[in-house]
This record gives sequence, structure tokens and C-alpha cells, in this order.
Amino acid sequence: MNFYPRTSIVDYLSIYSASQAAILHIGDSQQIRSRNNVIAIQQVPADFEEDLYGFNDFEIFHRPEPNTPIVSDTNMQNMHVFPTIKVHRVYITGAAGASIVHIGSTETIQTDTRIKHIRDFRTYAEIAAQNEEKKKEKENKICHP
Amino acid sequence: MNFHVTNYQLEVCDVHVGAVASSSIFLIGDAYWIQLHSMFDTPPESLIITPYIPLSLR
Repeated sequence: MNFYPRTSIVDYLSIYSASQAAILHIGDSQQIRSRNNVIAIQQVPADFEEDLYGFNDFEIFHRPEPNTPIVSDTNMQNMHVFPTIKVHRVYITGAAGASIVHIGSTETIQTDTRIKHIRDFRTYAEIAAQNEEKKKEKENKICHP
Repeated sequence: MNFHVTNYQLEVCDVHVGAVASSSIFLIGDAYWIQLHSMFDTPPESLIITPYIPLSLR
């Protein structure tokens, strides 16, 4: 493989936010590998005391990466008549979740994101009632084993 | 298979991007190979129920 990257020229870059394992890279690189696991919980009565959910509880975080072979028998040859890529202005609002904003060349990029959404629409009253039930069950178990 | 690529002049004025998220890339440059994976697990309750909020102010 012959990899001769071009030079990237950017006059102005504006980026408001880069969060959650996002990368803002200026310059060349050889290999980029990033991974991001997310559990997003929407719950009306916020409960920060208990650790209700863990990555080990869900299968999606343990599923193997899809096997997409990189090897190909194509013989690719590049000819750069102009040695530069010019971009005058770049405006980015946000970068998040194992994403990459890269100015410059790279040989390989590999990223993997797993996202699990949990929406708990129970109200305060429902949660209180369910907790009460659980308590009663426990008490009953202790009294009549 | 033989595959020949000839790159001539490339010059761009403005690029506006709303968001780069979840294993996506925004690249100004060359790359040899790129492999991006993303898996979502979203219950049906997560159907959009909130009003549309624009990401960009423009």
C-alpha cells in the first residue's frame, strides 16, 4: 500500500462543543480507534442514589463488532496533481459520542458506539406504590419463609 | 482490479455542519480505510413526543 496524503489547509474553524469521547484533531495521524458506550435514562422523578442500570445488564454492550473485512484485492493508485485540500471556513455546532472532527490525513479510522435508551414514564405515585408493594413482599417473606 | 484516482484542485469556501455524532466523522484530508460502527437500542416509547428543537441557530 502506498499512502501519500495531501496537506489540508483550513483558514477558520468554529466548533461550539465536543463532548462524550469526541475528538477534534488538527494535524496528521496514523491510526484512530475510539469507543463509546451510553445508557440514556429518562425518568421524571430523578433518582441519583441507586445505580439501577449497568453495562453488564444489557446484551447490546457485549455484542461483537460486525465483521467487515478490510482486506480487498483492489489495487488503488492515487495521483495528486494538487498537493493540497483547501477549505476556507468550517462551522460545526457540536461533535459527540465517539465522533471525529479531523483536519489532516489519517491512515485508518475505527469507531464503535453502543447506545441504550431507557424511558421510565412512571409517576411519583406509581413508583411510591410499587416500592410499597416491594416492601410488603419483603416483610411477608421474612414473616412466613 | 486496478483503480486509478487522479486528484485535481480541491477548494471549498464554507462548510456548515449541524452535528457530528455517534461514530461519525468529519474529515478534511485523505484516509486509507475507515470503519465505523454504531448500534442503537431504543424502545418504542422513545418515539418523538417533544416539539422539534432546531440544532442550529442559523
